[in-house]
Amino acid sequence: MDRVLRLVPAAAPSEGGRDQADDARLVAALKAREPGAVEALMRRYGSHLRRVLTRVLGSDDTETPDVLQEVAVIAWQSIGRLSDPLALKAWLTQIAVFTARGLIRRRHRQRWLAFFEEVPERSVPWASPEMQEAARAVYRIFDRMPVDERIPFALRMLDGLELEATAEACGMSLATVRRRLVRAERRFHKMARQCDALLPWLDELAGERK
Amino acid sequence: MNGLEREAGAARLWQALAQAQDAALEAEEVAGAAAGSNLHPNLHRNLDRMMARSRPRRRLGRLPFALAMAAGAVALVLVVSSATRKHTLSVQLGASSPRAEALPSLVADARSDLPLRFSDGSTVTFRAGSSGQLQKLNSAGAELVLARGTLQAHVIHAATTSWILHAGPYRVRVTGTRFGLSWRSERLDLSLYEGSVVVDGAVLGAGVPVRAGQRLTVAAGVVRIEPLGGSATVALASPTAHDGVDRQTGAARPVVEPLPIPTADVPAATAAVQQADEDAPGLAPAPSHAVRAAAAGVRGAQHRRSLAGRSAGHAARDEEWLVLADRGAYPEALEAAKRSGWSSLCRRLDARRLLMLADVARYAGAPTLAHRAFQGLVKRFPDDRLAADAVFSLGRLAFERGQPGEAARWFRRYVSDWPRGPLAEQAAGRLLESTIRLQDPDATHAAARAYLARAPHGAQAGLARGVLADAADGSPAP
Repeated sequence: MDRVLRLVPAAAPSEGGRDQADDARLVAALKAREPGAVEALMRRYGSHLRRVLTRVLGSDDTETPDVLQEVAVIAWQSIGRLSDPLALKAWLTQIAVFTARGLIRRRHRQRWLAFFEEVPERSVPWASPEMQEAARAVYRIFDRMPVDERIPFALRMLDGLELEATAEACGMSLATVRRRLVRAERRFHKMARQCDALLPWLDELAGERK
Repeated sequence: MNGLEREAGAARLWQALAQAQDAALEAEEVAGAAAGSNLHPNLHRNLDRMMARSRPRRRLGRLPFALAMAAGAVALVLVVSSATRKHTLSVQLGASSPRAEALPSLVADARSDLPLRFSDGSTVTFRAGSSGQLQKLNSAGAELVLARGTLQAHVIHAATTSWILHAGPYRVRVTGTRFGLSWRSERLDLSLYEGSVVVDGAVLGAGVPVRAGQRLTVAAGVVRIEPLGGSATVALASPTAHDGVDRQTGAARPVVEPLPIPTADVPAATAAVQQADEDAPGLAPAPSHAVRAAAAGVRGAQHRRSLAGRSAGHAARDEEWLVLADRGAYPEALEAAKRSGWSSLCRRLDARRLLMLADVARYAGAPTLAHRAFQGLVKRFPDDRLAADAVFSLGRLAFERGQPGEAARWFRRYVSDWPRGPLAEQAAGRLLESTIRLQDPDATHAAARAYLARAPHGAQAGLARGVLADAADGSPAP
């Protein structure tokens, strides 16, 4: 039976003002495979997902658009499993986190096997050179951290997520995420102290000495 | 360093990094990289196709449907992934292919060109006698420096293309275009045959867009954008303005259509040209016939659309400088505005146009007139957000004219009236520089402390710390 076309709710101007009824309609439209539903989803949550991916992977990462596409496809494919439409945003965040985690793990394997070239860096001309250098240093350290420490740490530090939200996004218990954050912070600071680009940020005295 | 200090430093790092990422995301959204829906066009089409196919199959039961969907989704991911998978560009330099991590300096000998062929089909040719460097190669493009001479570039456009070319203090941001770029004797010359670019740096500030068929030159602080081919607005340029990219290269220049310059209404334009400038008589050099023709064309076109009841000549004059400014013909726009009466414009224009008028004067190398227009804006629209730009520009103009006292007053005003304004950090830094020039130690130390409080990692933080350290040692400020 052909379905009648229905209007999919337009994107909200800001995520803060999102309306739960719109989310419910959007989920219904996705489940009904209505044309334009995926576009509506990405109009509504694309920016949020890009931000989450940027926090986890960095602004320089050239594969962010690919990951975003994977998130869209997975969401579309598995929307049937989302029972509470009001949890749409958190559910999408989780998909983004898990997809990014998959990419990071893949890269770790590739690096270990050394079959593939290094992932190229993208220049970010809107940040100062110092900031770009610091950002690269941060993500180089992230790359050396265990993925299950890196992701909650990035979300907590860069996106300012509460502990509960961090745990939810990463699919971990509160106790686990707390433990991993403590470890991640210790590990990050230890490596950051070896990194010249980060010293001015971590050590006021370093700036004074210059 | 104790734990608290380390924590505070790290907190600033996270905050600054998050802000930089947000700025990057915002810039991408603005640039259309996010393309509204954050989806690649191919994915739109494929998802739609998959959905269209999936609907009839639903009647066959859940399992075949689920299998088809899963297979389709996997295929889609593979297709999208392979289609959008990005690889670092490679480059062919003569017979060699330098690796991305060992990029060479580029020097074309005196008699032959040095062509670079990139794996995406883009080409950059350093003309004979030119030199530069290939700084970076990535999946989105390349970053090159033109140290001296001329190059011709043809950049293939793709969704995420981002090439950057540096020439002296200027930077050309490219997304896909064909152009010639020359950097000689502190003179920038860019001829754009296809596409569009943004050039920024030095006098160009945040950036000047250049479109196909236009030529941008920057020399001795004067910015000009004129139609490619030089048929219309070369008269006010210095003789060296004729040393275009093409003559320097000696290469067969791509065929381009010059910007259409209407040639009607020459007598009307001539009359406008002959009118004395009420503010600065004798300042305006007589424009060439070509300029008159250009201006007349603009006048003719605008005149026909002018509002009923307004003086036709008056309206056309008012619009003439705007049209020329919009084309980037700043010297001609300046002359046209002077013919309309600079003081009168400063009294009549709204804030946005007044700022544009001031910028026209600045780009055309007329700081006194720029100063008057900026002051008019600040005086007439003190509460407008554009007044902040004008205040900062007034400080900069004063600084450039060797008046550090006046510069300090303007920068101090900016910092005090717009402490969270987009230029506040720069204003604080400039205030510090101005007070150093003034040789006023108390003001310098206050400015240094204020700067460090605002921007401990800012561009002038080193200078500010040096000032305070010297004060502690008892040595004079730098």
